[in-house]
Amino acid sequence: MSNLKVIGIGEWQVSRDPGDLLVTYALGSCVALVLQHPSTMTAGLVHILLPDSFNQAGHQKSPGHYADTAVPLLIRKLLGTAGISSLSGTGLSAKLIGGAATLLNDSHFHVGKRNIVAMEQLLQRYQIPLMGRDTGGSVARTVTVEVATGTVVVRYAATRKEVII
Amino acid sequence: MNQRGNEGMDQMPKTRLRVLVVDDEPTSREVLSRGVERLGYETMVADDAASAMALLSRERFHVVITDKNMPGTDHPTEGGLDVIRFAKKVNPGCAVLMMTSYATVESAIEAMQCGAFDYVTKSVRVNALKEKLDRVLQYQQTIDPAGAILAYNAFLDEIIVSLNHEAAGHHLDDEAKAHLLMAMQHQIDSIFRERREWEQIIFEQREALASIDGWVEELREHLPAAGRAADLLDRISNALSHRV
Repeated sequence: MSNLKVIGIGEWQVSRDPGDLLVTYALGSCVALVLQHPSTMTAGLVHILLPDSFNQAGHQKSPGHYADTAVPLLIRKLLGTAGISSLSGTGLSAKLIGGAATLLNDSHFHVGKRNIVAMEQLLQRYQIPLMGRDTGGSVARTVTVEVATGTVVVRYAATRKEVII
Repeated sequence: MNQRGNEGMDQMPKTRLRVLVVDDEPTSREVLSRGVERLGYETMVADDAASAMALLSRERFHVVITDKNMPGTDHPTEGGLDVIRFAKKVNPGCAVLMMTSYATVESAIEAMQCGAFDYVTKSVRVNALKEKLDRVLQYQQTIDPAGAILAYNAFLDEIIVSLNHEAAGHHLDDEAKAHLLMAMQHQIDSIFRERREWEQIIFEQREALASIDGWVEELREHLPAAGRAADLLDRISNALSHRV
């Protein structure tokens, strides 16, 4: 029996328990970053709301809410759980899901698009290869990470269609 | 071991304003960069246009404080203009404060005509510097800082054109011009301050709706695919769609 770990907005989970399934529901303009360390079978997921913590410096929430603080946070948590001391040459890889334009009139905010751009820049800065992605468009996505196999399943809310990335 | 988000031990690190100070003259560079540091902001310095541009292409700054008169790449004597152009190109959300020798309305207008957000005098006191940087901060804390700063500069351009026009027609003295300019800046600031507050409300609501959307999807997995409960979830989903 698999153990479901549900991750809400701005939350994160890291696991190396083969029985765990990490799941986050209905990503709209939010993005989910999945980090994986295959040799220790460790996986982590964070559900990110906005690209930059500076935009809301007056009303800041937890670091998982913003791309610029969520990425280093998940890296740190994942290395800790995997028992690795440094990032370089560890074989860490990333998958990126979400960043849709779901709002009827999003001409002012463009949050989905800006979330994706911010994530791409951050992954490049930390030199973490992006091994899979399912981003953009206008669909809400639910993401499930099987810790045992590293499989990432994306399900579209509207059609219930599933893809593996 | 699993780690759940939102634990107390992961406090939000304070996001700091990042400021680049550019001047070929060591004394004013020192005065300004120390002033910025005393305000608790992250500061870097460059002693000419070329090294400023090299830094700007590597790092992201919220504010650039630059002198105008120094050797540049396009301008032999007005390298500050190269810095402004480059800073805006690599990061349109970056606000430029131009250093001037005197706190005159002419230097203020000149700085703004060059695309600067505001000006600071080379001998600026920390309190006055804080006021200038606090103004920038308000714009930087909107959801789209680049759009806010561009709109601010467009407003200012219009104001300066009509200010010059009015001044010529009515023989406005410098004091009156300075007063008008400052009053208009305060007006523009208040519009953007309000915009920032509205944005916060919109984002609180979007986050709440997005959370509900997630719970609806989670609930679907525990309920039969058809029936009254499923219908209700569909209605909630439809109401949420295109709103988060």
